[in-house]
Amino acid sequence: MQKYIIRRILQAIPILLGVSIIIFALTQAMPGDPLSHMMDPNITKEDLESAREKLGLNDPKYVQYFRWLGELLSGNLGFSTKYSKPVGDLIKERIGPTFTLSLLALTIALVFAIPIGVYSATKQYSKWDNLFTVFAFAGISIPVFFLALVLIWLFALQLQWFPSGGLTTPGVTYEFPKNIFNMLYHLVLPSMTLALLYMASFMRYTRSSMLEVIRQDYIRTARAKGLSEKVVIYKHALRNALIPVITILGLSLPGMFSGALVTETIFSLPGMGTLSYNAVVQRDYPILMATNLMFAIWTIVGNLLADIFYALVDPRIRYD
Amino acid sequence: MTEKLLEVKDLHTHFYTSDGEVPAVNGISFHLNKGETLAIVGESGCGKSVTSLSVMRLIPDPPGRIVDGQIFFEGEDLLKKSDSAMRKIRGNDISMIFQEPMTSLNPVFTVGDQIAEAVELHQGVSEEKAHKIAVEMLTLVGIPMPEQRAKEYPHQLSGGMRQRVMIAMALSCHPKLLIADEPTTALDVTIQAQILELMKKLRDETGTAIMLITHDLGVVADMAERVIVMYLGKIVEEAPVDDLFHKPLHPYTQGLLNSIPRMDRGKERLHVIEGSVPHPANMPTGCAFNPRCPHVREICLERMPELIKKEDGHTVRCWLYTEEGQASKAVSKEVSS
Amino acid sequence: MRNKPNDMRSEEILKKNKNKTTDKELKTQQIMSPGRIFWIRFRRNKLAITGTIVLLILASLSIMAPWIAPHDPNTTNVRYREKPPSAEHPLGTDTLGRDVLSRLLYGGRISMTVGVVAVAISLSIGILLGSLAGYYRGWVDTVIMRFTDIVISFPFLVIAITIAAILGPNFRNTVIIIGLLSWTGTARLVRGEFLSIRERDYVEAAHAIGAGEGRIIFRHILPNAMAPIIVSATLGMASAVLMEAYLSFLGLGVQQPIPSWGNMLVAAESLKALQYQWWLWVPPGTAIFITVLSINLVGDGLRDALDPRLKD
Repeated sequence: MQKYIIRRILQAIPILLGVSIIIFALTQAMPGDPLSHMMDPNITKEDLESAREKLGLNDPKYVQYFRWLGELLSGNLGFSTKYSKPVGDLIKERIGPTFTLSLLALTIALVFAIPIGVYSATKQYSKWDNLFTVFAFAGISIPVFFLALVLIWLFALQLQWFPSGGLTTPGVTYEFPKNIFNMLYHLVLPSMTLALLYMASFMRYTRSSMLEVIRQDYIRTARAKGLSEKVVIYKHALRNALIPVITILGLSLPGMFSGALVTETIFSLPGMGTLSYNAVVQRDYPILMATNLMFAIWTIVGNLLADIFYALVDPRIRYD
Repeated sequence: MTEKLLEVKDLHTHFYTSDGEVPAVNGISFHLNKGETLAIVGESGCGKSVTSLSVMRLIPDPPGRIVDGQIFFEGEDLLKKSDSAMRKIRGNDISMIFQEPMTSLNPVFTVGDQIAEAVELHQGVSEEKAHKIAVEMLTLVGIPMPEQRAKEYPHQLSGGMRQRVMIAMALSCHPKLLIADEPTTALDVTIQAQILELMKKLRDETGTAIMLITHDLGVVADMAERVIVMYLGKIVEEAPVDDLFHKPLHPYTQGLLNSIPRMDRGKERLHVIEGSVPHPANMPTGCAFNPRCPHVREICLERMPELIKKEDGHTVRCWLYTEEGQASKAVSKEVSS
Repeated sequence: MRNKPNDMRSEEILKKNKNKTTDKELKTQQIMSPGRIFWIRFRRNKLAITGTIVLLILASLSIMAPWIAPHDPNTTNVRYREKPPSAEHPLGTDTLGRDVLSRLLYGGRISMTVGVVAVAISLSIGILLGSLAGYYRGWVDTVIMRFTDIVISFPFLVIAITIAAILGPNFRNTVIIIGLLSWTGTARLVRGEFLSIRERDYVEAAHAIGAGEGRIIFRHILPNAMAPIIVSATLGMASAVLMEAYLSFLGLGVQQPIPSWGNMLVAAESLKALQYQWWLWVPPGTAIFITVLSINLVGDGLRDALDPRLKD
């Protein structure tokens, strides 16, 4: 088990390095360099050249890459000229809403998707199973922003049950935990949007995984023992069926982050997604690079955790 | 002493597939006495496994269903019992071991837990006590270091060990009937012998009746007292084990026996039954065995024979043993190409 | 009881009985071509058939847009802005007074073109890299698969808007970005197929008779991996259409005045339009939804029909 985890962590390192190289290459592909953004137009060419030399912009690319990587590892994610703040500080402020939203949505999705998936598998081709199938297809086909707009139209504009955007009522600070209920109230529609989206695919995965498992010999053994259908399905079958779903969860992370970006933008939530989007609009490259890096790292770490968790619940790997 | 434990009457189990309705078990009747070992033999697809699953009422529905018949266990019809009453019998009074020890145990629970689960359920003992019984059962089936093994997962055990665990699980509640569906088929030859020895020893100690499903006549000779031969969902011959081996009546039984390699026959060529088993959804007319039978008569192509009582406890479903059949004209062998 | 059919001699009955053994196999193995088996399976799937029909209708409407659109999609009319549906403008007019229905029809061409071209790009890259990895294995495989892992680590939208910001948002770059970022699934799939197919006898035989590597890859292995590739291409098309809509909705895909379903929805970002002007956002949103749904249904039907392992 320890060996497996260590091996998995070692495998993640080259991927992280590769991610950093791609991001560095993108930085290099950007129009202009840091100096062309911040320099006074009156400065002479010679001064500019010496400044470049001093900042190391004339060094070979690989030297610049390692210097950049060194900065990253020491926690320096760059400086945003637009916000006049270190990028690291900006990200710290924005992580909270993104994670709250994602976790909320994910929890809601799983709470509904797993029982529905199990039900659909045990009652394959029944009326309800067909209905859930149609729902799942709709869920994976609807664009997040359209779903968000429909929910805003219905719940915010027509019924006026929930606010149409923002993390808090104007004037209320993001202070935690004092204003938690105000925030949760604002997060109802965004998390519903994402939850419906995730639910569709997790429902399908649970269903197909469950269909595979209930055909196995050991399920027949469990029935032959005289166990009730409930125990057979929810103890013997589900435990096995959820193992592959864990991997799928890990693999769905990038898609979930993309969904969060769109949702945050539409509901004007001050999260990582809006930070990236505004950075694109304002051509704030240091922020853009940092958010790309953060999202990629979260994906890699998320997959790593999924693999470790997988090993924890599957004795076949745990005892290898 | 010959009290009937199990009596199956005119059982019909059909499967509804895309090829149409398949009568996998097509009207079979037999009984099993207390403490007796009965073997059901036949090629794959003859309905022997479906018969055993029907007794357990574990036919997957859909696609299968028991459409007719009665299954009396200790005088009560299992087919009339409620699901919950049936669950009290399964794993308790009747238990079953399966062909594939590699896949028949749940990979995510320890073997100890899997044995204890049935004990806890049927005997109403505490979890702790159930685990103690599980370890005792593992000792009984000859697993070394049972306490250690009980904490292990199925993938950590060899095939032979897993089949021992299956036997331990099946016997943990002292069943009156043990159904063993090809218990040794998936195992190595040396392990097969060990498992058979174990089953014989446990049967003699506990007095459990065994319904042994197999295609291996060697296993039959070793274990059974009485034998039923099945072909395409029907019983074609039933006899005490010695009778069957010494005086097989049905051409199919004769074919099966001739296809076993024997040391005492020297270098004689091994006999094989010609042709293959027809698809049950597409049954031949007349006797189902006629396409493969070396003694076909005209009557065999027209009607399915009834079971005929030849001697005490020896019955056969074949026209050759009737006057009508003897009188019927043999069909020329030319067409066998 | 002995009512033997007069016209049939015993020998014939026996012969017929013997043949029954193999009748079943004959029926499925020799009489039907693979294409026919596929069609019979596909036809049974009502949802897939519905998807196919809807998709065909949408595609023909898009192709015929220049002939059937009631107005020029780009003609603005400042005095006739944000008008609700009327006989003249069946789906009303947008903020610049352009006809929404016409823009919707022309937008379909953009969405479908992006879908087809982006999938062509991602399929080419995916098949090439997957084949190389699966055929050569060893370090080639390791390098390609690690590279795939790296690309997969970036959430699509985050990296896509970054690249769009660098390259500049337009139609061509949208297609390129989607194509360049969505080949990973195909590559993994093709690699997997190669790893299993290259071990089979007919590939060994091709090696034995001295067939060249290119020939083995393209004549012997790839055709046998086609079924899953077709399925993944179809589902890839659905996600390409969605991705275009996302990028254009965020203003980083297809740019005005070219109509795309994604950029038409930008109008709904104002709460006023969302509440009072449904014709500005419901039609393009529904169009994307229906299109993607149809493609997904077709893809699912193809998978069931092409891969019998998945259905009983």
